[in-house]
Amino acid sequence: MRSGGGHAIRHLRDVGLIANSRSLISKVAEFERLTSPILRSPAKTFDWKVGDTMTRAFAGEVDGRQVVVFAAKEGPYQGKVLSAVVADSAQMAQWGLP
Amino acid sequence: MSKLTDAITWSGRGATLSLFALFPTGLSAAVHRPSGDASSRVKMYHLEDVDERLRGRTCREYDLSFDELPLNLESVVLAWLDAALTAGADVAWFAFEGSFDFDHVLTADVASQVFAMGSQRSIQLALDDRTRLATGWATKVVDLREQVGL
Repeated sequence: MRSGGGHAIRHLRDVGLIANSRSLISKVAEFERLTSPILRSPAKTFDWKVGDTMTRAFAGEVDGRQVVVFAAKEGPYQGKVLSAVVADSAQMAQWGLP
Repeated sequence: MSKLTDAITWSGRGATLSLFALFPTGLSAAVHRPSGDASSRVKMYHLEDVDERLRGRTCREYDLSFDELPLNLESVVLAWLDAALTAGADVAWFAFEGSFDFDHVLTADVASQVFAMGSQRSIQLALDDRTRLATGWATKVVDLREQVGL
């Protein structure tokens, strides 16, 4: 995770998976609690460009929703989480998620 | 398609433009949506600078969502930069998803992910890949960082 949590936390906050009212430290901890199982044991992985950075995407389920976590494969944040999304139906089709 | 258009449509959900703006301490003026703006949704976030990398400034991010890639990208970018600077931002810039980090604000290693930026002195654009990927653009990005004392 990069300093400030980045887009990854903001996207999951937007859909209510992470509470908005908590401190940043709490939000980072909650993000890690939700996504660690996906990073350790993803249902699917694939390469995908986030912005202009090649990432490895890790997909899995959180509370019945398909979450995709993107970790940078290159650049200054290599190895760190760049973003995360709850996939909508179009994205699930795009990424071949069940 | 250019690298820039690929980058701002990466998610497959239309296009998203991320605007970042640094405000002086204590200034909480709203950035008003420019007239005629065609974004379908604007989300604003206060970015929490817990380690005080911004020397007391506050940073806000505005994610502008469009159902489709805006044809008038330059106008959109200029209008929003102007709106942020009019609201009192010291500096504002557009950059790709995943580029922001408090330790890398307008640094050389993320300069190729910044495609427009402005201060109270000037606005500079790099909407074509060639300009954005050139060494000269990185120099301008770092100059702006130094100009605002980061």
